[in-house]
Amino acid sequence: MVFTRKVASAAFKASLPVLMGYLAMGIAAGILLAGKAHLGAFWALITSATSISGALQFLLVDMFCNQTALISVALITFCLNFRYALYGLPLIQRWKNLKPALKLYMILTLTDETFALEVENKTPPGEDSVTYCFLIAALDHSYWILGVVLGNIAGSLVEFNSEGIDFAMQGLFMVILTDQLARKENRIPAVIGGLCGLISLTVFRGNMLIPAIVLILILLLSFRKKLEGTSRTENKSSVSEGQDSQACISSSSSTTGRKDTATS
Amino acid sequence: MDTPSTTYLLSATAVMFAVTFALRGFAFAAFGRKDKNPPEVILYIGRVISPAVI
Repeated sequence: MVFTRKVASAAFKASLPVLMGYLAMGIAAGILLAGKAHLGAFWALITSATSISGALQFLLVDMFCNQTALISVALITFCLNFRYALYGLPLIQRWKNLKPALKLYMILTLTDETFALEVENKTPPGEDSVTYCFLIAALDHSYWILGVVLGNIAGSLVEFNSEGIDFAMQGLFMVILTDQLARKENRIPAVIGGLCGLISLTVFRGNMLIPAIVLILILLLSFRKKLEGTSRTENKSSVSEGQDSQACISSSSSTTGRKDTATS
Repeated sequence: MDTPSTTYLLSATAVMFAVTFALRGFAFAAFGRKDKNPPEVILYIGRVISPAVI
């Protein structure tokens, strides 16, 4: 990895919306951990550093309070975080040659927001995209820990109403999605994702996540021929514009001149 | 409310960590072997899944 001021600055700027969202949500989760489960900053630190999952961080407060059986904890965690099993797919090729310790850390920190920023991959031209992704992961991780610990400390001192602040996260996803829609090949998958989410929400209400993911996979596989045709046309024009071969592997890594020094 | 024991808290935290980490690492463990490329269908899903799930 090659750390330069330019790549650090780009990673920090890209992670700013996550900072806002994670601090707001983390503080709310920390307050809940202190107020409801009566657990201090040590547990805020341990749980936020290891789980790094917004929904789970809120849910673990109830599980701790009820002393839920460990097998149930495992099942709830599995259902809640099932989507993470798909997040590695776009990154398999790009992270193939990472050093094991670095790869484990990148996997550990692969949250919704970090995944979105890493796939978006706005590494400045001529800079190392692995360094960029590592910085994004480390910054997002530290924001989350900071938010939960601060909230936990604040929760034992003052009363705090966090209603509505977590809307920052929805805002972040809208920005990332808008950016992705600029590429023609991303439009049909985005429409499929939106429709599946709506259908699943209508039918399954609160348990919509897993059915939505299954439906998305079925439809993406059904439209494979059409979508691969669109992707090939896009990639041909990308290559002719002088973009690196990474664009053929990851539809979102299209910044000209980006380097992938995975084993450095 | 009874405060949960340290053993329970540590065990539950470890379970949540293990399940979450296993899910996050699933794609890499299943399809990320250095000596062979993932199947075409997995590469395809990898290309199109991000705009759909975001």
